[in-house]
Amino acid sequence: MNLLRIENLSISSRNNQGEKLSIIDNLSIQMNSGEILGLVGESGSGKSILALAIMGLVSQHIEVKADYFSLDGQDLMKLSHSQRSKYISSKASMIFQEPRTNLNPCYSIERHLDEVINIHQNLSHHKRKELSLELLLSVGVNDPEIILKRYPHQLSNGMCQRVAIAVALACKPKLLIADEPTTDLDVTIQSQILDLLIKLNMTEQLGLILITHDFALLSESTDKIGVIYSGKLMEHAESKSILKKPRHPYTQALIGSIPQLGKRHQSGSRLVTLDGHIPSNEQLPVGCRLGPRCPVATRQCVKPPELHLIADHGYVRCHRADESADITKGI
Amino acid sequence: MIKIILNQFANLLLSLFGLSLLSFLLSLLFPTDTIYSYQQTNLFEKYWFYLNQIISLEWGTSLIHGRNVFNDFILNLPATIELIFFAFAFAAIIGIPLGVWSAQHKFSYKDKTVLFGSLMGYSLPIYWWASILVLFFSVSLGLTPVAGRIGFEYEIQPVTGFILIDSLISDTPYKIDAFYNALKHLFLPAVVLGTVPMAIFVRITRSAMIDVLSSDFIRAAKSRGLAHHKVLWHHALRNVMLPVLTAMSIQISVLLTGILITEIIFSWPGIGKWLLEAVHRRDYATIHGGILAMSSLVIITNMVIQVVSHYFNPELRFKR
Amino acid sequence: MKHSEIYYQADYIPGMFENWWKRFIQNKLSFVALMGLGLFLLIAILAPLIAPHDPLVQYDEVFLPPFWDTDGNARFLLGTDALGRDVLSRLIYGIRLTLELSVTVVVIASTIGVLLGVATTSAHKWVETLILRLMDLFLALPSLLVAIAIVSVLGSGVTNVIYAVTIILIPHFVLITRSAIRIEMEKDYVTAMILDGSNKFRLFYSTILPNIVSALIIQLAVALSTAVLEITALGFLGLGASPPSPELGTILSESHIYIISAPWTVTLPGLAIFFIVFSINLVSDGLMDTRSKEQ
Repeated sequence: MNLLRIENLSISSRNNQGEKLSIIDNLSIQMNSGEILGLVGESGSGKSILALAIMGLVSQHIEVKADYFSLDGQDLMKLSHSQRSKYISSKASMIFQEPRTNLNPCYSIERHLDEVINIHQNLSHHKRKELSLELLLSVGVNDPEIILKRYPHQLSNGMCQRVAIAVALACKPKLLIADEPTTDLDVTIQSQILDLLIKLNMTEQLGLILITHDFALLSESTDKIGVIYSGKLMEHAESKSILKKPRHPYTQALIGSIPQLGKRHQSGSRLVTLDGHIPSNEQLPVGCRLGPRCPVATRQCVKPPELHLIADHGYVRCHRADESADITKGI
Repeated sequence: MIKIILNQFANLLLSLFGLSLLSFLLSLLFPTDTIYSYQQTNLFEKYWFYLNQIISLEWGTSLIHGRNVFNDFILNLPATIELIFFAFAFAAIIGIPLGVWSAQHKFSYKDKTVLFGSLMGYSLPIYWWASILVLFFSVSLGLTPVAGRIGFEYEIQPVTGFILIDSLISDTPYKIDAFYNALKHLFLPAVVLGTVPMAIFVRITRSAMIDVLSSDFIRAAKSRGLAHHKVLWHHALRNVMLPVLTAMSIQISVLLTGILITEIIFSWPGIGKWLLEAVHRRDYATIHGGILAMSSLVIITNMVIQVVSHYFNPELRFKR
Repeated sequence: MKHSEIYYQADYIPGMFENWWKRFIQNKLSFVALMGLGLFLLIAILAPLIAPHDPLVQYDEVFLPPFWDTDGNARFLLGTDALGRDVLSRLIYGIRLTLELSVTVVVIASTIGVLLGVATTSAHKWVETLILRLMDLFLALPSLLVAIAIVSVLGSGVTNVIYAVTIILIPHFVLITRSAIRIEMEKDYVTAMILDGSNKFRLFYSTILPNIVSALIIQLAVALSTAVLEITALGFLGLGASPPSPELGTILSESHIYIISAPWTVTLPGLAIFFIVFSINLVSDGLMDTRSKEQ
């Protein structure tokens, strides 16, 4: 069954002159329960706002439209605003990039957990505390009794992120969205947190959306990967097949830009880079959004490409996807 | 926590020491023999004598009516505290919710109106503002009296010095009327005194609220299904209270400046009027005592607010 | 094939001041306020030329209402006060005197304050502690109380008002300068300058000063509005400029007993003070806005 299915989601805001600025453009995505979906893209590609839109947290002056939007079998567009936020909070949860800002600096960890458990489950005070301890243990906190009494500023970044995950789990969600959960952490802590998320995915059948700009982070853990560039979904397929043979030049560039450990780079060989930077949403290029930066772009790329289904792979938004042009091997 | 209190206390002593030096200087600069007739020749011995006198509350006698200055101060203090309390309550009860409301509608025309209004309130010369309010409420509408704490037809025995309390605990048959009358007298001065702090509360609450509302933990709290009002009034406001408390400690000295003007305009028998009358009559002992007492009050109140805001901020509470 | 020309390329890059000015006038309200402030300054400078009467001359018509009233007289546009002096002329000269005093006070206070602030960051430890302790003490005291202490020692009068309000304003300048410099000193480019071997003076003049100027300008505007309010308040309490002189606060204190019989003698000078302070505050608000957009 589909845990999350979104058809043609568009998000836009208005600038000072009242012009409409597209942030996310006709994006469709789906994932099954218990899966891990990775969303990759440069900063500014709109991946974070996508996460907020799924959670229903975008601010009022931003416009969100979709043809179809369902979470755990329930069509969200049929619910009223208050019903929707209540439903989403019981099915999905989110953790943010900076571990510290996830938690209210004025409240103790106990109060954070207690508050959320109180909303979603009707338990006595004693039971709530027991559950809090259990949750902390399940995210790998070894001394939950002590941590419970602490305030966010007294914990390390890694511990804050664990606690944030525990608080997110207190809602008993079926989907956990992690927006760059490890970017602000030390490298060794990064892998611990990632391992924890994957373990939770396996033991609790928790659907996971991992949002990152770092392809290396996704490589072995995810089931599906979506690559977003400038508000458009560029490639959406099984991770194995994306990693084996990326079809979109942008995906190829992202994967090609990862330095490989242990492999000695020959002198003169270079990592793949793309010139320029991501266009601002006030000055979007004509045709393919990647056009101006794409090394394999041709005359036809002035027309915006559609998302093609490629057999044994997935969806790719490129005119030249079938020709299997590969920018890493030279053009 | 105890360490913080001790630290603050040490700071307080240091400030009071500095204040004592300044006021000692004042006592030397005033015409001789108006406060103390120093027998000592050495400056240090003079200061030592001065300090002893201040601590034993021998603040000299008024040159006009010969009363003990410290007793006079204590006698006039309750009226001022009463006025400040209501002015502060007025400022906080209107200013803080207005700031929250404004932050919720940030950058909309509602928000801009509130901001504009608060900037106007912030720019008011309060002696003029008082005249305008008197013209409107007292002269045009005839609602409120223009001077004093209570109508002369009521005779209330001072017990605590707070007229609202005294009128209620007195055993006169008209005590409820007297209470309302005192409240009416209090209304205009409190509004005049509270206007500038209110405007400042609005601005500080608004900007702190906007900062807090855009932070991730508010989003996180919303995403976990907390009701909107709970997110706003518990999670957000708790964090907003810290800058507001700091602002409050600055407001204390603004309020005391306002007290001097307000009490003169409304003939409010508090320490502001007492001090200014002394200035006009060149009653040096009273001027010296009044300045010393009011300054110490401000410094002590500031310390208390510091300790309270430390208590509300867990990051500072647990600092070692 | 690359389409780099699709990207917008600025062919003219505006300078620092121009950029700042563009951002500042985006906020129309503070632009209007700046114009208003300019108007007040113009009135102050041109007072002898535009005032219809001598502000001190007493005419026979006492309590003449303004021209819009049926009893009004076009000779005295805004009427006359209790002593038969022309209200409009007194207002114009009042704006002149009050602004003159305020600007003087701010210039003196900012000079001393900034110098002391710089001194605290580079002087001996104990000089620093001494200055800071003193400033903290002055900041904690209610400003009017300090002024009263000074005036009661030195006596009332224009010069003593200048001393009093200057002393009130200095601590703010010291602390602002100090904290702005300290924030700058932690920046990597300052460390780079030190490593490159630049001396203290050069470091301050070419690296730190340009970066703290905006903080100081905002403080100047804030200080100006405080100065106007304090000077008029002292005038109102009878501790400032003495009665015949047309200082706005003094005018108010003379006339506020006639609030019922001759309200225009109270409302008009008050409005003048209010609009001066309000326009200064709007400008400083705009300055703060511009600064926060920069960062």
